[in-house]
Amino acid sequence: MHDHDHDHDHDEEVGALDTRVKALESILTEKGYLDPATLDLIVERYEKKVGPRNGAHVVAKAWTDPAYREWLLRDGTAAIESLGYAGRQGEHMVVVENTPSVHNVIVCTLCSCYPWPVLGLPPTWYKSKEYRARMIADPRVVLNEFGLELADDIELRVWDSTSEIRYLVLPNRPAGTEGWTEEQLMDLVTRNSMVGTGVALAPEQAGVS
Amino acid sequence: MNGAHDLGGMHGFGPVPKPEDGKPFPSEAARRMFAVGQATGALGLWNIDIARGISEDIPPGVYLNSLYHEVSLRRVERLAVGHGLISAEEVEAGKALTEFPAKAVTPLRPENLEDFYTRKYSYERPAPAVAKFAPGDTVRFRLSNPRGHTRLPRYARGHQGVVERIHGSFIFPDSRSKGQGEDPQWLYAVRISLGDLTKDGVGPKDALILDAWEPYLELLHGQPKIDER
Repeated sequence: MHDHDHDHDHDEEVGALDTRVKALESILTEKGYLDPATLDLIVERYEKKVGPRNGAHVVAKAWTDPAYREWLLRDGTAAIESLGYAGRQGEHMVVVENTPSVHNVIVCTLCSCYPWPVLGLPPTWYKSKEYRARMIADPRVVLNEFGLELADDIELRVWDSTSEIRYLVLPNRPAGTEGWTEEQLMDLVTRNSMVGTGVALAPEQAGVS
Repeated sequence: MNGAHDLGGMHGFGPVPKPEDGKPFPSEAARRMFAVGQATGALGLWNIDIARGISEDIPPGVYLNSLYHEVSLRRVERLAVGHGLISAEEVEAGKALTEFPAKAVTPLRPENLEDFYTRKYSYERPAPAVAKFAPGDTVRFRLSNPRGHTRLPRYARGHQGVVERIHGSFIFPDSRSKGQGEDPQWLYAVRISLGDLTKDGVGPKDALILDAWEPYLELLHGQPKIDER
């Protein structure tokens, strides 16, 4: 089949899909089931207000406060809620810690379960069939695609979010950050490091001397 | 159900698309569909287990060829028709055919949004009985092939694992998705040796941990029983 024909068919399919989405929204709105003002705010909430900065705060606090770290690992929901982060898709939080010999990574093979209150909405890659399938089929190769190489003697733990428990990775604290404040440390904590497809930034990577 | 959504361990997929891109939506339509799914869910006519079951119940070829938001679209269309919000004819026509709402429900309003997203909610429920298993127990995932919604992935079935944690007693999706009530069951985190599931891209100590409700598990004694359910 011609590439051009294939692309044309694909664009037509996507166009038809978009039309169906618009039509459904429009029918439900016309009948009074949906409030258009609310729809805009739903997306805005998770694009602007709730995001990985919340999780970075949790992690930075755990790095600087041993009592908080212990609480976080023992009762993730309560410890995270104490910082003001709670709600849908985060009702039951379990935090799993990376160590020098253990690396954790989270997936939802069956759909796209993800801890919204601390990380916002999942990236498209997290929801992709490729990620969902291959985190079980060849996980270390997937991590390589994210630029992460793990030594053979490291234990990789893949957590499949099959229930309403939502998992968050507590990444290792980077070297060379002794004496840093919580605020400074937050800049090193990436979304990927809290999902497990990455690690926290080194000081030089964050552009901080 | 043994649907195409149950992707863990499936072969043939290429590289993870755009790992460098953190955006949740690849298009405006995907964004809108997310909001529509959320707002219709907020009407309180169905729960998340019913919704997931509906998402999964499509022909495998359709699921595998669908963008993520198309799966959501099909789910919401089907739920909206099934619960009498709109008619199948209206979905087909792409527009409302009757002026008046078919069902009296309260739409989610901007002033209720914060409460909707932050109000205290728990899936935990009082336990029906004492937990059967304890951390450290060796268990086997049942060889069951339910036609309805389940959260027991095919890759785990028949495999041996070790109980890592007891999470507590939680609403059981297999029952609630069928309208059989919450039927709370003990929920465990169970660790499987990842090398039992794959020989590629895996290290010798690697583990796969998934959450399993008690009915998914049996204490390990000899050969697995084929689940007649």
